[in-house]
Amino acid sequence: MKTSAREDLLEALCILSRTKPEPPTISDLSDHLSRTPEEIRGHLSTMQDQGDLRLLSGDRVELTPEGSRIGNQVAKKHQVLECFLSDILGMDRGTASEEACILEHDISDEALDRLDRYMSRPGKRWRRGKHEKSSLPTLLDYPAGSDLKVSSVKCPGGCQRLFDMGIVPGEQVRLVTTLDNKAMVIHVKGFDIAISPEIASCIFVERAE
Amino acid sequence: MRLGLVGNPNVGKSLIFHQLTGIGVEVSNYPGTTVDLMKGNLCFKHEKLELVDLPGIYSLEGNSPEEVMVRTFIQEKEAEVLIAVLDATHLERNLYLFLQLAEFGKPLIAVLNIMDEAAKQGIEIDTAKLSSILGVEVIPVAAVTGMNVAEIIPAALFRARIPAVQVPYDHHIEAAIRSIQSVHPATRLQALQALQGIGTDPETNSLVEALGPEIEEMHRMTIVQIIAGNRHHRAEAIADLVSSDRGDAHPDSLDSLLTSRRSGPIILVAILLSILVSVFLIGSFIEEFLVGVFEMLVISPFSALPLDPLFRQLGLSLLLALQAGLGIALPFIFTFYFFISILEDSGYLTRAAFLADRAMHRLGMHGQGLVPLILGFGCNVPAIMGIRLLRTRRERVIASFLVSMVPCSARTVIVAGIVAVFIGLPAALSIYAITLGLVILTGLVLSRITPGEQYGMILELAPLRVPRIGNILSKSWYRIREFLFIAMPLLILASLVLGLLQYAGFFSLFQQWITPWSEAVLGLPGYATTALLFGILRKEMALETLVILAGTADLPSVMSLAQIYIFAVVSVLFIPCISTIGVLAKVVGARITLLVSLYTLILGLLIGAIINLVIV
Repeated sequence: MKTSAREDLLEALCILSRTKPEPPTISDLSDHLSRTPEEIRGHLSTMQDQGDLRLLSGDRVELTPEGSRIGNQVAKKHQVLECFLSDILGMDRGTASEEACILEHDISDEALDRLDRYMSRPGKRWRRGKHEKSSLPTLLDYPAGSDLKVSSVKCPGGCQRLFDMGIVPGEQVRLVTTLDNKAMVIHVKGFDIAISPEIASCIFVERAE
Repeated sequence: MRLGLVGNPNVGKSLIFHQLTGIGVEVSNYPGTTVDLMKGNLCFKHEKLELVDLPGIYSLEGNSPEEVMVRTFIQEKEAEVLIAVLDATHLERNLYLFLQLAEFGKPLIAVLNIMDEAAKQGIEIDTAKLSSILGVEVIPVAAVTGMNVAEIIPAALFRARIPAVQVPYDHHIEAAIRSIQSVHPATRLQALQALQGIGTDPETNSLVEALGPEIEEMHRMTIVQIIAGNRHHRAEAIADLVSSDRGDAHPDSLDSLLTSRRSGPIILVAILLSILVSVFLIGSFIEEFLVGVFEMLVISPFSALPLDPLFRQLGLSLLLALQAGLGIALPFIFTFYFFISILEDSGYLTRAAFLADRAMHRLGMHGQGLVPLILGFGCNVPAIMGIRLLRTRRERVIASFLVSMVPCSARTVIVAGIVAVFIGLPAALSIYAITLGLVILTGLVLSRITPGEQYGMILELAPLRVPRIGNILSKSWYRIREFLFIAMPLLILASLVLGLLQYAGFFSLFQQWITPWSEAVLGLPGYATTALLFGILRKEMALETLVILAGTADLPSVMSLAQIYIFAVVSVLFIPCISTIGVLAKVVGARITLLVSLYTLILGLLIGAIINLVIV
């Protein structure tokens, strides 16, 4: 059995056992990983012999402390990588998650540790990025009729209403019309929403493919 | 037993509410707020139920007055069962609110409304599947045609369940929830609320202070944003699972005409002007008729009664107040709100707000500030109530000044009654021009000097549709209620006080004192200034008092045309009426109310004095 398959299973078990109080079942696992139960059953018995987990009655699976440690480690790697790929490199959430699934098995602990620290100190490492931020395109920079994707929203006043209306990173918006002062109507989740220019200036976007 | 209707704006909640309760709706403020709450009763199998229509909201975690009110309402368990109304044509964003609602763990049912429109757009929704995912009963409804509306109450009474659906949050958020719970007993909901800065428990909040910044730094987003993102993600996933391809709505050509930067503003100005002119014409016509009938049927017979002078004075004051109220309320205010309700129901009002965004920015507000300003032309009282939809205090303060200066129906009565009649229409229009010019100037200045931050407009454009006459009438009635129940009682009381003062001879005393000032500053006879003073109680009363004190309705025989003009200008500008002052105090507080009153008083006198200097 490959290490990546083992790590994937441990990661899945960790995530599944967080959502529910009772241990996950084999069918939960097969749903989560999109594999057949037979395939999973084979791997699980090997892993039980290695001491990663215990198979319980009713097809339930419980992690041993060691299995849980490895699973959590992989899950953390996945999260850090996905965060990096989507939030910083601007990849689509879904693709970032798939990519993270591949990378998480090979990245060294040190590289991951440094990446994690790099991302948790945006103030220090992002000075250059911050400088660029002012030149990142916002809704104000596109003409009416553009199909756009929200990359981030930075509202000084905490624009909860924008988030509630679905203007969150990754969301597709269409710029329907603009006025002379750049007040605009955008189309989000099937609704037309009118916003003032100062609000539009805090919604950073890029062209949707 | 009490049931509550919860949902986004424009999902047809009110229509369902009216269909379930019929007539006899009671509108009241939620305790401690100025947010309106509609309550109605209905009977089901001999049991009396109360149905509450909560205001339409986008979120249960926001801080707008409506959102805070609905959150409190749900948390305080004021309704045993909640009915969540969802829009089938916009399932995804409606599920966002539903997912929040589910976290409150209250028994509820979901009503999937606007199924007719969804079918037209080719959207198919698997309600059974939706029901199993959400863990509550889902009833497909088309409120417009009445389909399945009868199913709602039995389902809410007997089959309401606590929803099973849960949002899987980002693992940092989940970890934070767990660590809050491990230190301090809190529910998932309490922990989430604390993380978003709206928690009520101080201990949980202090835990969040330690956890929050770390998460926000890691994601380079606020926690609110992360949580909202997770919820939208889940809502999207559920919507994808249960509905067929969302038919992409075609861009509406009428809509693009109405909101385009070329034709939009022209259409807006044309619509507003034609409404004002129509109200002016229709209103004057009906008013004359009503006042005439009232005079003939009530006042003349009363005057003929042999009564004690005090009672005669009081009775006459009361009747005059009723006559004036009737003469303003029905012809002017109701007609005006009838037109405005058409604009609102057709979805045009939100587009008007959008188009006005630029102009309103100059005045220190944003597009949404247009709505109270327009409402002010009817009556300032509901307009001031409408200020609440502005989000920052700065905007509310500016709006309270400007709205109080907008010439309301009562002031229109003065302008129409003396200036248009004795001097001519151009002179009457010039008063409007002066007032609007001053409103704009005041806005320009206030936008510079008022402290506080300004956020822009975020406004959903309501769908364009043909308004329904029943809805329009009930909305106009709802708006005029504020005039009838807030302004009218004060108006009648003020009339009685005035009657007593007149009886006690206060008028002549005041008149003696004010005459030199009045003649020097405004060039008006003393009785005219006395009349102006009583315009504070009721704007159009300035006119009636003037007629009484002058001893004749043929004013040009006792006053020069310039004096009549000055009288009208000053009475339009100075101090809002007592009802407006009362509502102002409730909405923006005593200090601002005092400032508004002082400002308008000084402005009125100043402009009057200037005109006096220039013309005379």
